Amino acid sequence: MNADFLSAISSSWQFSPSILFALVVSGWIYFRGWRSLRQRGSSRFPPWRLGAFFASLLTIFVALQSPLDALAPFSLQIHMVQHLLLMIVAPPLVWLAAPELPLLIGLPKWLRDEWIRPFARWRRLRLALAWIFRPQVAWIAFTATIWIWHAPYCYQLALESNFWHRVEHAMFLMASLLFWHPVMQPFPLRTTYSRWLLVPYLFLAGVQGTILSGILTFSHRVLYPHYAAAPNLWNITPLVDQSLAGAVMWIPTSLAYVIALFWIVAEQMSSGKAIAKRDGKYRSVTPAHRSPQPLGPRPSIWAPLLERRVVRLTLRWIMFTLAALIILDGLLGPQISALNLAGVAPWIHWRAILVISLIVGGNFFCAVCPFTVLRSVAKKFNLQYSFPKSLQNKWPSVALLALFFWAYEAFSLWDRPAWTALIVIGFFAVALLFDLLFVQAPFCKYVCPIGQFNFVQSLVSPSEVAVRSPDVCAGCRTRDCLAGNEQIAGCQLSLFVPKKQGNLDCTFCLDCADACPHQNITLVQLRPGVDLVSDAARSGVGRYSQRIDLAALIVVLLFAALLNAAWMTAPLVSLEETLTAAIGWGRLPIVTGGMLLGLLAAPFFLMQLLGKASLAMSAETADWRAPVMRFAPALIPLGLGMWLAHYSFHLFTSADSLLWATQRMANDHLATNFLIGGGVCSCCTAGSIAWLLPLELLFLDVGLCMSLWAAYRIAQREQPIPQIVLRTFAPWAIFLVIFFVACVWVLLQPMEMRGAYVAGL
Amino acid sequence: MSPACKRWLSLAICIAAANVVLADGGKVQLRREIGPYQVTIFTSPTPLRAGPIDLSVMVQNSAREIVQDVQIDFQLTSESGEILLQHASQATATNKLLQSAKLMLPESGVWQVHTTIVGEASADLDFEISAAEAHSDWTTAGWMLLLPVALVALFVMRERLVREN
Repeated sequence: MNADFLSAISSSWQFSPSILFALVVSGWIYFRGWRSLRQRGSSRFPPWRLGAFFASLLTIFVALQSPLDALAPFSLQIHMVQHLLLMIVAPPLVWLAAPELPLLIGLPKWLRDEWIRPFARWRRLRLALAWIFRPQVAWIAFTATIWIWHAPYCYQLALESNFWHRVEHAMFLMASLLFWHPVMQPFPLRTTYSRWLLVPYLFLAGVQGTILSGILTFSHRVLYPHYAAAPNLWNITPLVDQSLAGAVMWIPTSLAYVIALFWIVAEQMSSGKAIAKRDGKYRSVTPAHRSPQPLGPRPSIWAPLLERRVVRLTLRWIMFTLAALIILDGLLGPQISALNLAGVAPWIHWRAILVISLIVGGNFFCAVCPFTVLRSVAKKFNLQYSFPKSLQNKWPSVALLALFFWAYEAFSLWDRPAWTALIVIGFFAVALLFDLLFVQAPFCKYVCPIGQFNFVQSLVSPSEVAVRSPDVCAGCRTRDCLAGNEQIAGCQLSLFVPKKQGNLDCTFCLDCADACPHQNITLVQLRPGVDLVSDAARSGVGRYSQRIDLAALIVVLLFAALLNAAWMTAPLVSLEETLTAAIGWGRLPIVTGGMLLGLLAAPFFLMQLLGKASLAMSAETADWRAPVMRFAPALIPLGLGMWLAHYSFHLFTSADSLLWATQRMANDHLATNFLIGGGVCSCCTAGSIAWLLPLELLFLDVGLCMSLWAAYRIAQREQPIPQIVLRTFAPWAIFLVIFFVACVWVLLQPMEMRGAYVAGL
Repeated sequence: MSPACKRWLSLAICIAAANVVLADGGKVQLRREIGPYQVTIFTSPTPLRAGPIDLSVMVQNSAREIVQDVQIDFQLTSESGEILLQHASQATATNKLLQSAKLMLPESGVWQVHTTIVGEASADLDFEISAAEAHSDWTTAGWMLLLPVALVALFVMRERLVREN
């Protein structure tokens, strides 16, 4: 073995995101449940059970992601070791951890109550699972899985195809979990059959294992053609490798069965005494002291970071510096969007990071908004005007957002760095002007299009600013969180935190938390989507179902999600060119007409249609706007799914453009070396990166499901009779599915790569 | 063990088994002695299709030791005359025993592959690969549509169970 080999093999670890995600999430859920059980005083879950569970996860990781997987295609012995880890090491460790209770308790309560409990009570499912876990069924499933996957055709298939290889591993693991379940008898399982039955169970498993191992060990021909053709790494012939693989299978599996057999026999021979002793050990334990749980909602994982004012201020100044760089490069740099920071940073990276942060945490951009950096200075010179009452709604932002989406297409803003820089300057200027003129923060609440986008999409975010304990607020008379005090302004968007619900209009600035003298406000966990279906009266916002301006904002953003992506697809670009050539008035009237149609006229008529259909179905007499206002929040998840899919496409196909633009800028100002090359933009459809299209479709799938769920719950909220619920829901469900299909169609079209780096520029 | 726990455990295992990355390795396309080298070429996916593919190479010397300090280049020529050039490297390979080249085959049919290996010695290798029609993106979309259908079915079932209870 040369150094090259050792170096290559030691670096052949894989870190597949899906496997890592599954293992980390499983581990985290178990740990949460285990910790909770320990705090309740359970002595059935000593630390070794936690260790066993983590060891099982580690074994699965090593089997699937370590260099074993890199060597498996070249050696049947190594492949066999990989399989044995999945079959005789990981499953017993899983059952030793007795994962049932910890995994259940580790899940969020709402998930247990709403999703686990109904199915756990379902008799048919219980019977089906009980049947699958019967020893005879488990034994047959285990044996059949082993024999089927060792048949030459199947084994060869698994070696050649990644997909079937994964299926093979999954089946080995699942069948082995079934097999070891009656042997390990994890708590709280109580068998109704005699444990003596496990003696023939294990013995016969050993017999079939011996036959298979024998076939592999003593066969005179190479059973799997792949290994006959594969490179020889250790100067052993494929036949010898196969014989050794047979031995590798034979000895450890036989040992595992024999140890289990001895354990069962010893346990039974010691009769009831030992078992009673074992059970008694748990019964006699006095519950440990349970540490008091804090009252109120759980803090968000972001709370420790963002509730520090210094962190928020630092991040705000970093954003300010980045904005300054974008302005500088936009105005002074070359007007090649792909090589200019103002061409790539806002239109490719920032937009994608914005929507990702909205679904991961919340409205973090507003929390660190660079446009408000100078607010505290401006407030010193504030002229104390009140923002006009007639404009204190979402209509100005609806108009501004429509104007922005029109300008984006009409003037190809993604391709105009200088214009982008001017827009950023405009944001700073208007924000500053508003802070100089008006009390409160009307720019954020009524004007800023970015803020409105964030407010709407953050209704499905998993965090919100809320109080830790309502009792503390009940006794508070100063209301500093709203009114402010000498040091901190309080909530400038007029949201009274104890009566606030959800994220609408909340900039996550946490000034309320700083102002609260009781330190009773922080970032807490919010069940994603729950705010969409609640129609509570909210401080500063009122009821969603009575806000036609909010409904209009949601609808415009939904259609903008589709239109913004569709306008870069080949069919629409081609249609635009055809119409431009046919009419002969240039591109502007076509884009303007298209935007008026797609953003305003079509949504207006469709919502009218849906509103009337809803009313007709429920035999309700009201204005068509009433159901639109009620159901509008349900449209948000699908819209966000489309924004996420679209922006992910740009991010993942053009992520390195930020590097090129930064290098070019550094070269311009610092005379560093800048060599363009290496970047190729060949990705004009999502399908050109194997995982990108499925990822985009996954975002849309989740968005659709969440929208359908929200619409159904809203229908239930409004109608007590189940038949009418379905009828009221139906038009919205049909609309959501049609909209979803339109989004899928757009994602499948070839995309015009806007502002991305193309080799040869 | 309760049904709920078993269900979640099975789900976690299924997720763990899912992997969407086009891995290197795959089918042994050919193994040949050329000059001082023994060259083995793997292709993925199996069956080979137009679209993203992986060509991976293992180069060994006469002592069957792996040789890494060689430069490997592929030139693929389609029946219609389209030419693709791609350099293979260890950096792009997950399995570092191999040198891997990720390519985007634009069309199906037979592709002539010319492989150049330059190290202490040089070697050229020609072979053919046959690529089937690419999976339509609509096929991917069709599979992905199963998720909302399944989730909606699960939700309907849950609603029924809650009503019955």
